[in-house]
Amino acid sequence: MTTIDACIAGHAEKKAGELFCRFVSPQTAEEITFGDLFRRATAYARLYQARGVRRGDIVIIILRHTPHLFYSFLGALLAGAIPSFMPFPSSKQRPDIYWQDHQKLFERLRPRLIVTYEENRAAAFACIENFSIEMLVPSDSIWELSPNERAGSVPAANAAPGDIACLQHSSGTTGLKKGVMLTHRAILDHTAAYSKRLSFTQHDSIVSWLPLYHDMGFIACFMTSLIEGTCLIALDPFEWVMRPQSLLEAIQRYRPSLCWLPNFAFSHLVNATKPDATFDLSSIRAFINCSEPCKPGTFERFLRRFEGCGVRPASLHVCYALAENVFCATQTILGKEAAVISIDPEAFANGKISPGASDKLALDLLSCGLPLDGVSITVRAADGKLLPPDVVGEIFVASSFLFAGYYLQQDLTETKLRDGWYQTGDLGFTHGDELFVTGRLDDMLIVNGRNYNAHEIEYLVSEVAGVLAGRSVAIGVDNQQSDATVVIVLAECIEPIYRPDELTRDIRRRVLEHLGLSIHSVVPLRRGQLVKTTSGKISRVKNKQLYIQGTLMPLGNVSATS
Amino acid sequence: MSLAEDDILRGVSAVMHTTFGLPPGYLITAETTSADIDGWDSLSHSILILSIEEQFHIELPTNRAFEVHDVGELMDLIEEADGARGAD
Repeated sequence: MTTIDACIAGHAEKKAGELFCRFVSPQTAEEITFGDLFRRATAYARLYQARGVRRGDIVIIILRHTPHLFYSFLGALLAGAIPSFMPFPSSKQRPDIYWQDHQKLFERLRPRLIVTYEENRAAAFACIENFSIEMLVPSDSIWELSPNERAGSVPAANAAPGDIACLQHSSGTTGLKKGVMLTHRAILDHTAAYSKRLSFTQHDSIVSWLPLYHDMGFIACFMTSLIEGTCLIALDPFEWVMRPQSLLEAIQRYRPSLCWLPNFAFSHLVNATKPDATFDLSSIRAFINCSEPCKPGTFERFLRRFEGCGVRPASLHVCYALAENVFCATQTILGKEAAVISIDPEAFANGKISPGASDKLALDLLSCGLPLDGVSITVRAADGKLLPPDVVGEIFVASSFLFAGYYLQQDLTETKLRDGWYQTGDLGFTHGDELFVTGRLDDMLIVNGRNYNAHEIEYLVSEVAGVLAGRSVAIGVDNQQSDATVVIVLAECIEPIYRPDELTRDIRRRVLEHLGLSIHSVVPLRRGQLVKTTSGKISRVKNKQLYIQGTLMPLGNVSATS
Repeated sequence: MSLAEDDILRGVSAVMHTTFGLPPGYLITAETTSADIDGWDSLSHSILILSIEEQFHIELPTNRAFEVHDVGELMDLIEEADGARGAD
């Protein structure tokens, strides 16, 4: 197959009655065959065309957990349009902020149509002046057509392998999101290379609670199942966060073989399932940890909790993925335990990798595996020079399925993609043939699998009454209790500060309403406590060190009468 | 016998102290929200709900438990679930 449309049509012909998806929601598990999928996607395609959607138009999909996610996306693809998933507004975010932020993105993308619900249509029109993007409300009536219409042929989009199939918006907060352009060829070639590494067969099936606007849910789970023609067990992301054991119940019931999870999800499964609950998880040949720095300690705790449920050390795996490479760049070898190396933390602080002096002092790092066929990895210094193995630098990726650039952002594309090499912004090193990822070069904070720019959080904090403008930092810190990265805000305040608890509440609310991010804690500080860099900027690195050392003194309550 | 409001608040307060590692004496009221407590995010909220279900021997409706805005709304849900259990 040379295009995704041809692939879907092929499955509909050869596997019409076979299961593409068990769509699991709290109440039901709807079964969708490849025949259903194609028929319903085709109905969407016809409707798009009837509404004036043309080849190359952008179609944005903002839906809850519903099979219409699949139909509306594939329908756009069949119609020759370029679909893209976006997150559904969270109940914690203010609708006006959500829609105004999206409007900045829409101004750049200029979508032809948005597929969403009536409530969102009303909110968008209420919140954005002169909002003019056409909206389509999903409904089962879309494929309940007359016999003549049902007999109609597939819309002739005639996609070519090099055409843009879709946009992935995976990084950064809304206004700054970049539309990663992926061609049909890139997605199909990636799937071929990744399936080969996973030894994927027609007996495999994937279970996922991951949202489709995230590359792990979209490519690793949805696209792999779709292209390979195997069954996807799709759970509701909101339901999973509340009841993580719903994933374990689904594994026991439907016996899937592959499951991708960000690092925090391994911890969440340990922390938020009843300690005495047991499940049969033996069908999973690989739980694959991805999208956040993967920690050996997390695997150890997961294994300790679920070893009795059939999880084996060799079923815990790691991949290094990025939307700009469709998804996976490196992956550990299935059937073998992922490598862990113990290194000297002092040498590591200076960017060098050497064996740990003793168990007590050693820092354990988990391998992200070897490059897929067709992928090359280099690690470079700030001046662009190649670094030897065991030296930390920036990771660059070249591959036969790299993205085609950022949609309508040629300058940014040229900055990040040079001579076939994509500059990732991730830090890491090679050791033997394997890649180890150690962090980020920029100020991106990765929290529960989502990316946030520290400076955006700081901007929001600086607008809160009582905070000194430009005198705050947002830092990511490992939380021992949850085994996840949490965001701490260090903020210099206007004195006297009467109620630090109210200030903290205001900061949390502002960040939550704008970014949907919960700030773990706020440390109000006296003017001048935050350390600056030599160039006069407030240093995130140094102030994070001070916070971890416990040397920052938070301001206490001041009596209003004092 | 159904739970009294004071009993519910006392139980919720005890669970929250454990879940969020609150200092002894930290006062939880019906008006307390996630913005008041360090580390009360969507993930820790699910751990809180699980612990509350164990503490009160009840099952809370997932969607509504996720939507609560403050401790008072959580207490209402507990009271409702406790009442439903008593009616069984």
